[in-house]
Amino acid sequence: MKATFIHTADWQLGKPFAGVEDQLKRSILQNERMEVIRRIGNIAKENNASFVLVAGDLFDSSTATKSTVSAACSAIGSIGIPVYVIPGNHDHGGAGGIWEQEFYLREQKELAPNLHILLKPEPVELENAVLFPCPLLRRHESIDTTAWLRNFDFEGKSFGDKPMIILAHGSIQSFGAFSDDEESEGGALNQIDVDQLQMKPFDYIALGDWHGTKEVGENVWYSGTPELDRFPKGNEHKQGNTLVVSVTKGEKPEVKVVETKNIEWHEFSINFTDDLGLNYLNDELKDRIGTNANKDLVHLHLDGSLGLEAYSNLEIILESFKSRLIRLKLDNLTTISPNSQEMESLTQRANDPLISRVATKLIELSDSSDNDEASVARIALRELYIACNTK
Amino acid sequence: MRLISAILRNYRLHRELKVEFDPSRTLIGGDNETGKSTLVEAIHRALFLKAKGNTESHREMTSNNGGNPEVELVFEISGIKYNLIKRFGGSGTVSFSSDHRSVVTGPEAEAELASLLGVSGKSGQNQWAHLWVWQGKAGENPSVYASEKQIELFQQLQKLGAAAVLQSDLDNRMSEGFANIVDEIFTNSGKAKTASELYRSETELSDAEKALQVANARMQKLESAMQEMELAKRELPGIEKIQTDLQKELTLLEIREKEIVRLQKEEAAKLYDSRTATEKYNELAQVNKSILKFDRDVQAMNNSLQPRIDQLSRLESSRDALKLESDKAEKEYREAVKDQQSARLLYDFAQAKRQQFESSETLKKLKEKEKSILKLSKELADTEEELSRLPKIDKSFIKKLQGLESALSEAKAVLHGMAAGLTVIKTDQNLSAGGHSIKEGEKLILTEDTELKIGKVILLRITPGGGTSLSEARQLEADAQKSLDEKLNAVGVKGIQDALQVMSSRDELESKINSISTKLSVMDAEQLADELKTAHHDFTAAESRLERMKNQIPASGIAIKNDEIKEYENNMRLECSASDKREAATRKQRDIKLEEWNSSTENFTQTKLGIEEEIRNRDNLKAQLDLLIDTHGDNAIRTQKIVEAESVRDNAEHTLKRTVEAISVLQPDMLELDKKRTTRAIQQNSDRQTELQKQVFSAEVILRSDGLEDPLEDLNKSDLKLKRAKDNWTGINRKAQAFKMLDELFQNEQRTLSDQYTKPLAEKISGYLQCIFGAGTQAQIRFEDSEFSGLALRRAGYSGNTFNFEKLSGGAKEQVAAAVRLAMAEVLAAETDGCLPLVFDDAFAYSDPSRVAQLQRMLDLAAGKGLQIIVLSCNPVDYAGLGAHQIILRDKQSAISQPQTDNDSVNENSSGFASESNLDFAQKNRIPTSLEEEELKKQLINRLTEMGGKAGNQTLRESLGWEEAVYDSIKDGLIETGSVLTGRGRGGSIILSDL
Repeated sequence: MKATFIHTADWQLGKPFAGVEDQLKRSILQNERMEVIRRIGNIAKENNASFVLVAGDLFDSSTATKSTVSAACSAIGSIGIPVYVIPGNHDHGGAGGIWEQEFYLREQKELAPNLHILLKPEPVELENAVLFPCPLLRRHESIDTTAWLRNFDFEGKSFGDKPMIILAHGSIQSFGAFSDDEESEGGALNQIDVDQLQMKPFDYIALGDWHGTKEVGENVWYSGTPELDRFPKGNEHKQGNTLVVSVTKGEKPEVKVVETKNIEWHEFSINFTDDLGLNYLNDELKDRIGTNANKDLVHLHLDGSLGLEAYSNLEIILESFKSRLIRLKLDNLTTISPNSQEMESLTQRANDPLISRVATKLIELSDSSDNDEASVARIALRELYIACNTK
Repeated sequence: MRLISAILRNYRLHRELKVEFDPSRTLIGGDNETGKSTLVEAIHRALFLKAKGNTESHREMTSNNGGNPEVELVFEISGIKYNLIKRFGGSGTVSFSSDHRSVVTGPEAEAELASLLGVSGKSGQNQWAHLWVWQGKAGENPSVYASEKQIELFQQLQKLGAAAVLQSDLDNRMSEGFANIVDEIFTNSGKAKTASELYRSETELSDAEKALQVANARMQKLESAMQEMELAKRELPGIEKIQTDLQKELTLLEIREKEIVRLQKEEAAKLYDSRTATEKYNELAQVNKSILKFDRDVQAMNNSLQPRIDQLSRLESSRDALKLESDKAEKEYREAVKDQQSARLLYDFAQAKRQQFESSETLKKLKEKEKSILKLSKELADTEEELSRLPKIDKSFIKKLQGLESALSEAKAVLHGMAAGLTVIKTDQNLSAGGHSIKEGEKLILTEDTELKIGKVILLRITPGGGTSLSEARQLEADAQKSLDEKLNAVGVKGIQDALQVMSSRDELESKINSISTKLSVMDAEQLADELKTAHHDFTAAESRLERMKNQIPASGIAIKNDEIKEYENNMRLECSASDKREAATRKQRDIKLEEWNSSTENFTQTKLGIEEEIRNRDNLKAQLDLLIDTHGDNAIRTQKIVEAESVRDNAEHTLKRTVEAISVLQPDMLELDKKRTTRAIQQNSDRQTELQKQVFSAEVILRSDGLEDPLEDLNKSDLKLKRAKDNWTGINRKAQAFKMLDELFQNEQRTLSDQYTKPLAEKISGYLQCIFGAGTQAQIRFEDSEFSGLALRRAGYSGNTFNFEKLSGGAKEQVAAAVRLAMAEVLAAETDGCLPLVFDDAFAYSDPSRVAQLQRMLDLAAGKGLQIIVLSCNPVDYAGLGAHQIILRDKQSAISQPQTDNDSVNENSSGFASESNLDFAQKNRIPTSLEEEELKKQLINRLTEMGGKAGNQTLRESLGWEEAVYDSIKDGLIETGSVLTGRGRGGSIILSDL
């Protein structure tokens, strides 16, 4: 028997994006996470999928707001086919969690009757497949949630030729102590030992937690998050996809990666070697963003040094892009150091002995080994420059 | 410029005074009031006061001598000699000329002079204040004068190597601008001002920190609620199971308790049965035991009674036998008594009979004796008759007679012995003796005084026996005769022979009487009558006794004779004695026997009573026994009953034991504990359950989301907000710090620049100061805001401390100020010809002598650098070391003209000052010399003594009229030597020491 379904995870609905100061821009990001559910629904329809699997972290927190809950239920309801969900570390299935909240239960019933939250580690037999959910019942689980499957007694059960699919959330051994979760404290928690499961007659293991799409084994996949929620870590970290999986009992599953993202998250670095580096920055930004507004986020790393005037120009460029982008995350390590011309205009003032002396002193201080003092001196130099050139 | 000479005319006290100045060093000495200050004032006015005028200054300089005050001054500038004459007053004139210039007068002259001296603006004492040290101004801060001369000073200082450019307007604007910005941002204490952006960002930062804490706390609360709920929910099922188990256990315990209660009731009943059966059996056994005992006792009593009955009968026979013996002894005794009475009667009779015989005999003898006594009594009476007829002459009478007789004889003999014999042997004359004429041969015995006449003329008296005794002897003899005769006559005898005869007869008769009396006395005549009476009585008594007995006496007795009576009596006596003995023996025997019988009777009676008692007891016992047997039946019946009771008892005990065992199995002791324990456990478990339910409930309350906002989102936001606030603050703070840095740098650099300008000046000042304070002394002076300031002194060996000018002592101020003036003068002198005059009028009043010596080095150094030093002092000897040209001013009377200008005048001057009567230096702030000091000390001590040895410092000082410095110096000296002591109290006082 063959089953075609959608494998997705880490929707993290209600993610606050607190790093985005502007309320409107924050809403754009939050809305996009709802919108991608509808896109997933469309993909399911296009691929004739019989159900959707969400491998954990549907909500960003166990304390999601009512509006988030309602929006989520509404979007999930629109998918039309059954949606099977296990709780992840963000929305664990333990006491007091979101899944127990009365409001959620009410909205689910009304808006998303197709939503099934699997809170127990026991097989769920569907028409064309059997699900083996491994829910996280607390935020930090020290035992492997898949452990129950290792000693599962298959003898007594007859699932026929229905493919057997595991749903789990956590990091896998081969990732070592590395987790993709911003909040995870590292390796020891929520670990899944996939090797032990592959010995068993499972046909597909649908994993969540890792935000990039990743094929761990031929039948073990992380779907990744369907819409980016952070700046990607490295080029190999492909985010913003949804998997369309077709699996037949005892066969290698067919997995199709479909891009579902809408918002772009850029990250790049520039090292200013001279004041001309400013032009390069300008070009790069225009290349990436074009004339768009409110569609991109940029994590910009700036380094090197700029002259007093060039630095003022940098500030003008950044001001523009800060406004156009949903977010400009700036790591600005650019140092201000007057170029020779600027230096001369400050220190070689025969008629203003005091200014010359102060400027000379500041240039000395800006090379100080005390970083704080040096940066204060650079700012002071700039202020002096400005003062001299405006008066 | 250099002063060469000055002439004063009609100027105050100076009528005319001419002074010539040394090009380098001039010392002007002179007592007070000799016009030293007036001299330098005159020179200053000549230079700077317009001649024509009627100001206060003009009026002051007028002399009492009349005439307009006039000053003629010669000076030199750059080798050109100038001659200036000013006559002051309303119509004052001025005349000014030089080597190269003819005389000019009036305003033209004044203008030219001013231009030459570089004077601008008003004239007055303030001109050249940096060069002219007026009296009393020596300690003022010279920075003021330096500031006044700053333009000239800088011109010269720049020439001296301070090549720095003066800061520009832009410099100043920048400096002020940044200072203003910093002032807007920071308070004086370096904190952000509330209106500043920095303050806002700081507030934002701390608000963000607080908000994060709140969000964190909220999140943590949620998480711990979640955790608590989970734990509680996990624990609850276990608790419920335990509760069920415990309830079951409790039910079982209650069942067991009921069973125990039932068994305990049963046990009580069984126990009662068992006790009753035991009691019954014990009762029966007891009765049986009593019956058997009674039986045994009766038997035993019977056994012991029989021998005693036998004994009683034996006692009875013995008693009867003893009765017989006793009666027999009684009989014998009675017979013996009878015999005894008979014997006694006979013996009495015999005695009476004998008495009758004896009394009769005695009577007879007594009668014969009566006759003899009567005869002797007659004879005695006769003899006594005879004796009584004789005179009673006894031996003593005789002796008296004999005595009288011998006295008579003696008296006769004496008479004869006394007579004198006279014999006339021859005679021729008629002789007469006693009127009797005697013839030759006559013999005469003279026994009495006799006159013997011989012739017609011779008459002699003869006295025999020595005188008168012859007649006495004749008397004695007569008396003796008479006594004898009287005695003899008294007894009727004629003489002694007769008396002797009578006495002998009397003796004879008396012997006879004695003999008869002896005989009578032997015969005891007096008792005879009694004896007769007794004998008669005895006889009568015996007669009557016999009469009474005669009927009982046998005839043989009556017939007895006198001679037989004694034997008879003896026999009767023996007979009586024998019967007495027999009576006693039989009585004794009778008493023994009676006693034996009595005792036997008693014994019998007692024994009999005892036996009777025993018999009664036995009979009682027997009666009881019989009653018991009647009640309880005989042995067989009783035994049957006992066996039955025993069986009942054993059964009851057995049943009881089974019940007790059943109870013991159920452990009633443990039951209570078990129940308590289980109940407690249930309670505790229940409490825990409630607690957990509460936990779940309260966690649920916490966790029940209102869904309006997400706490996690809030936390994330707060976190990021804090980061942003921090970034914001960091940026603003950096900028603020940058402004601060700019401000500080501007200030520092400004100071550095100033130091560059003032450095050559400070170095010159230091050079002068080193003369006084030694090597390493550094002066500091700054130029800020167009003013000199911060004049300070740094000395070697004072651990780098800097002493600000204002903090220096009066002496040091004078010295430092002088150094600054010299340095300034040195700098400014370069403007012209390298020389400027410096006038020090009493400029070192506070400096001690050793400093004054050092000062001279400094002044000499200045002179060496080309300056013209003019020192005025009332004590020029102190400046002897300067090696200056000296000018001594005399007092006004003598100071008409030429002052002394040679060295000799110094001595004159020094001796002159000692003559100053009021030691006015004490009033003028000058430090006195040691000689003066001694004088002042004396004054102080004297005044203190006048004030009673103790005084407040101020009072004493005012009383002395001294300046404070002088007073303090003298007082301190006195305290140091112990002459006065420091007192207590505000303001201070001193006390005269005993020393």
